[in-house]
Amino acid sequence: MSRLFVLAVNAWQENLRGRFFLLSFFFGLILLYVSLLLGILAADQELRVLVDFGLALIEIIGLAGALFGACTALLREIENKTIYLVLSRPVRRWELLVGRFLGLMLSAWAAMAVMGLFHLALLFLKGWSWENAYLWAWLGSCAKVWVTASLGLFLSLFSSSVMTAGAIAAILWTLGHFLPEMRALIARSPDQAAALPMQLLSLVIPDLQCLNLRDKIAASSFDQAWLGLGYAALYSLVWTGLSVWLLKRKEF
Amino acid sequence: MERLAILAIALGAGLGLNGALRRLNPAPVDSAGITLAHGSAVENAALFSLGMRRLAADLGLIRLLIYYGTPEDHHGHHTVAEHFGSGHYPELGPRAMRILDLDPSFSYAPIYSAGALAFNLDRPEEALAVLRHALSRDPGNPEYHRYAGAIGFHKKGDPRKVLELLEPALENEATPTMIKHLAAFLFERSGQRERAVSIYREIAQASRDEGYRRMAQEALRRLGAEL
Repeated sequence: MSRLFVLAVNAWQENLRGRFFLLSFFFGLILLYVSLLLGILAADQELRVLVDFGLALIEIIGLAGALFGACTALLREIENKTIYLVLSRPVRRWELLVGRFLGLMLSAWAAMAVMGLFHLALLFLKGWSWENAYLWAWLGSCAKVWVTASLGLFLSLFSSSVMTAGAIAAILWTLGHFLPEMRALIARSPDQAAALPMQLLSLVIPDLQCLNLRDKIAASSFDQAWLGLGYAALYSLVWTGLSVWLLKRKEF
Repeated sequence: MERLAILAIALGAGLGLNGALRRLNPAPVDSAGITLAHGSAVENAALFSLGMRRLAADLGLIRLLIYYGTPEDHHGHHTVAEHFGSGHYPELGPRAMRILDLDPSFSYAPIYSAGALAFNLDRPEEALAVLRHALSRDPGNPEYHRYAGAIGFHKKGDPRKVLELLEPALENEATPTMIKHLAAFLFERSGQRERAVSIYREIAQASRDEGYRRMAQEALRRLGAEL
């Protein structure tokens, strides 16, 4: 457990020194600039637009960092042969993978938290008052990033290519948001046999729309939100477990 | 062979998890469909694929506000030659309906559009069509019924009843400033100076719309009231 902790902290520190906080800084600058424009353009709805734009940006930046990290973390170590240095010590493969992934997710969530705090500060300055819906929306974004990063990690080990893994994970990300539309299309299809491949796909890709808690801000209905977060945790654990299995079988 | 086995397990696990989630939390299927404008279809599809429906609706509203805020001549062309509010704005209703398609809970857009169509442009039928569309999207929203009633009385030329229906909405922060300004104007015209001054004052102090803040300040000066 302590080895896992050391690996996670090490990965976290590496990420903190790298792109994550730099991206947060740029996020802040972009948000400040855009908020000035939106304040003029959205008139009565300035706060809504600021909330939506900020949450969306937090998610996209968090996703970009986490996905890139997940796709490159182990592959880069394998390519640079630095993985031998770690594995020649009393560290098991699963500890290396889980530790690295944990560190990556901690840094992604920390970056998202910093961006969220900055965003909140801006909102309060503009006269916004706290709503729990904000926290739910942020948690939903974190869960989506977690699910997609675990898929990216699995795909990077499965395909051994950063580009392929990143591209497939990004496609799954977009498909995950279209699940309600896919289901509607399947239900309307006159030929159910022809719709079968789509039906199978709709059952397998991650249901990111159920984690899109931003869409429920207006209704403030978060009764089923825990269910979605639990689903995200299980989904990520399954794909991380499969990544562990792949890494165990990998020959260097 | 081993990779195929891993892939099969992964797919099976995903299938099981998604199936369980669907059984526990069946997501509603949007049976009404979505209409996209030709000018922003790609942008909206991109935002949809990123799970940013609300942001797509927000951008639609900003476009709507810019559209209605740009003077238009009698042929429907946008121009700087004529004054604001003198145009026809044929897209005002359809744009609001498309925003609702993107985010059915975004009541501001249809209320703003219906208010402008009924009270500023004197096209109550189109305003009611927007509200009917909004009600089909969100049947439980009492605000839509309120505005439909107010528009009906406006059509019949009964400003007292219009005010009676609009007054409770004035306490709502989400009510468009345009509607508040209209109510203040109707109060002013019906001789209820104090009520009009209080609404104008609220607009002048709290509204995020600079244009309406300026108009409210002018109205307060006209009524001899302090800001």
